[in-house]
Amino acid sequence: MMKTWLTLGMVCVWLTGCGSMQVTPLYDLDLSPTPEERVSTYAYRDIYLDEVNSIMFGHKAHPCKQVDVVRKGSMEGADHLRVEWSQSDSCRYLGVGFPWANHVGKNLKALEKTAAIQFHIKLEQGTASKIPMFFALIDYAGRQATSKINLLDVEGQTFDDQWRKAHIPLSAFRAASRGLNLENIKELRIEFQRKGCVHLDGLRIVPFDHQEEKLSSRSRDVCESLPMDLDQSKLWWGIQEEALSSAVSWSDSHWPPFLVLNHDPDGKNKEWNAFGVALNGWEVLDMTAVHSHSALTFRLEGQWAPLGISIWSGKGKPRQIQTRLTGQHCLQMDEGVWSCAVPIKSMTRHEEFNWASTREVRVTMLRDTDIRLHDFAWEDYRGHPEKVERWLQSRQP
Amino acid sequence: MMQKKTTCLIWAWLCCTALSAGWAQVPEVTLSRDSSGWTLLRHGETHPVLGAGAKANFELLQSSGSNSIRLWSTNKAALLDSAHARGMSVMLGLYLRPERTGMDYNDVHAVQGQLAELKQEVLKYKDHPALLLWGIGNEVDLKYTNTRVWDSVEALAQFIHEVDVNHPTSTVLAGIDPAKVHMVRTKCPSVDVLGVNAYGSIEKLPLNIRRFGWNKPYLVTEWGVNGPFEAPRTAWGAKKEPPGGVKAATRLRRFEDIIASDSAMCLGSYCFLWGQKQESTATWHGLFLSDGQPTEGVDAMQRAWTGGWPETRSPAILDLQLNGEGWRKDHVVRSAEDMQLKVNVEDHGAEVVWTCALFPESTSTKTGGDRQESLAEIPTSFEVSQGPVVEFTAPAQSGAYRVFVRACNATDQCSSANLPFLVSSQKN
Repeated sequence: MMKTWLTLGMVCVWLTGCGSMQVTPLYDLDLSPTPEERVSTYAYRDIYLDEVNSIMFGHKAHPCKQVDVVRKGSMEGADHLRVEWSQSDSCRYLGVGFPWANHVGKNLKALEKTAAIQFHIKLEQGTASKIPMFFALIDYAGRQATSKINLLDVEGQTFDDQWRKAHIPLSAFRAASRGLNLENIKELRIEFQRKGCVHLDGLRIVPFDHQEEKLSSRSRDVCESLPMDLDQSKLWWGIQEEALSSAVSWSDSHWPPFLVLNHDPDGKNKEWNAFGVALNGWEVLDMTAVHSHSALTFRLEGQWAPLGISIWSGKGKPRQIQTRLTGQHCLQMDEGVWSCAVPIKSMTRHEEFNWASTREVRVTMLRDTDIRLHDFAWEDYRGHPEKVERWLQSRQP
Repeated sequence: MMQKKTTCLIWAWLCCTALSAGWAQVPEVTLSRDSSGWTLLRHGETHPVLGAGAKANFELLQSSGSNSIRLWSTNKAALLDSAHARGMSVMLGLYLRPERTGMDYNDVHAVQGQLAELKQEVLKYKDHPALLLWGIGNEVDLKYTNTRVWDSVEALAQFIHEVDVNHPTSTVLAGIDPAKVHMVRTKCPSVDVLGVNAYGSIEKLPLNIRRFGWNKPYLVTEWGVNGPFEAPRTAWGAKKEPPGGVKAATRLRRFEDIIASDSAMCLGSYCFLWGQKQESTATWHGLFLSDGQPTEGVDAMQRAWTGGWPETRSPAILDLQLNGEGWRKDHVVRSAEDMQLKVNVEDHGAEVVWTCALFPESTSTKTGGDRQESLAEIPTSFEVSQGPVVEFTAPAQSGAYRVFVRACNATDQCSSANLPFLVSSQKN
């Protein structure tokens, strides 16, 4: 009995042990170098250490710039650089360059996301939150990418007369978007603007934790189906709050509310002859999928008056397409009542319009107007763009 | 008992001192609103902004009646002192990098770095006695797609309200449309004043401010004549710039009929530009010529700001004709053709001296007032005769050119005008 229990116990222990056993990656060890190793094994990491051991150009006597090698008070090495400059119309470009590692083509590609150019910097006097100087990497094809110093990457987040360590992450040059070939870098240049004086020391490439946080681009809002009601819930402009004396106002006497258009070209509000509605809260709306078989529709009540109807885009040319509402867009339903539709395909240049960035529908009163605009909407339109009346009739019960 | 009395007296004295020194202190610049509209108060007094975008010529600016200058960034903050020395106020810009210059407003580190830098600038200049208000960003809306830029504007405006109760905040738009007004209104509630740079669009600015739903005050932060981006063009794309006298008249009309007329919402303006810059041409926006001479535009601004003209008026070129055709026409000429330029000038009874110059046409495509390089003059021989008529020979080489004429009086006030022309071998 004792033996049986012992055996059972051992089996249990063995089974439990198996279940909790870890897979040991005997052959899958991550042998890729750490960022520190990658930089420490990079042969060309020192850009400027001192006059003897580094190459520099742009330090000769110049009317707008003076570059001195200072042997006192250096942060490291035997000396450091002092640059004083004053830009003028006669000397627009002021800079110094470092074709480090004896002009060889430097491959910084593998370091782009994990390393930075580090240097020590101080002002001669005073404090500042910015210094008008830029860093540029230049490849052997002559292409360049620039970056300025981000204050968050400066020790103590200020510049003053104390040496402060600063970094320019290699990724801040955004090489890809600027066409710079990071695999064949010729030199680093520092360009100076306006006026200033700085001390620089110990320029080198070091491992750097990139604080890269990118918010995702706002996704494009897409209109996939119609109808879209252009009602009071949308954002409108050109509508006056005081209904009594206004040219355009909402009437709440019916549900749903409708727009009262009351325009007198000689009256007090003669300039209030236009109004518009944002399709997507003033962000752009992609109408690519639906625009070609659609129309703006509405019902008019009152005295017939021509209206200008336009659709606006957030970018591209033409920025707007427009048409003038005529009798051909409308079907008379009753005395002083019209049902109207403006097919998009009837609007000139609708093919060139940037439908991916549609933003607004705008209405302009072209002469004296006394009319009510009901049921404004953007709808599907399955008819001939020139035969609107027929399509409107087909919709009648 | 005596000790208690003394303690009470000390407390009373401390309270009075605190009240008079701090709590009762009126902010230096405030906005007030009554039934007639908005007013900007500086040290408790109405301060309608009679301003200019200026970096030099402060003496003439002051004597012309201006009381404020606009700086687009803190890079030239030394000008705060220049303005203060003349009792003028400053709208101080905090330069937010526009998206069109490569700034990515999705990049949190870049955005935070920019904010950290600008917050230090706020702390540095907030107590300067010349400061009138802050201009957060200039035309960040121009050709932008990422509306997150407004979060940076709001963050700075909020920060300013936390650390500086003495100065209102503004942001400056490149013209307005309903979308931009909506963005600032809803995303930047800490912005007190809307700044609008408006050239051709100034004609409907007061109306559009209201139609698009802006309900706080506004400043016209740049204005003048229609900009090169709005100008009619020749068939080969050259922009047609009105003569100096026409531009000065436009400036005066726009000030009187539009800016000064909207006292309910408009706090004033900064004319552009009390200086000189290359933007398509060397003379388009500047009220001064490249050699520093004031133009008839300066006279027009004095009239606008003070109601009076200067004692000595600048000449004003009102029209320019090339080979009998006006400056609004397209001028196509043959290679090495003899040219005749006829100028109509209002000289105000003074003798004027003429100078002329020929330049290749600018090919710059920069926008939003971004810096453009000046062009090199083409050496040309000009003969000026009575009329005045200027005769010269067109270049032998085909291409687009622009001829400039300048009329200056004895006190070195000048007017200039120019006209683009095309040298073509195809001309009949």
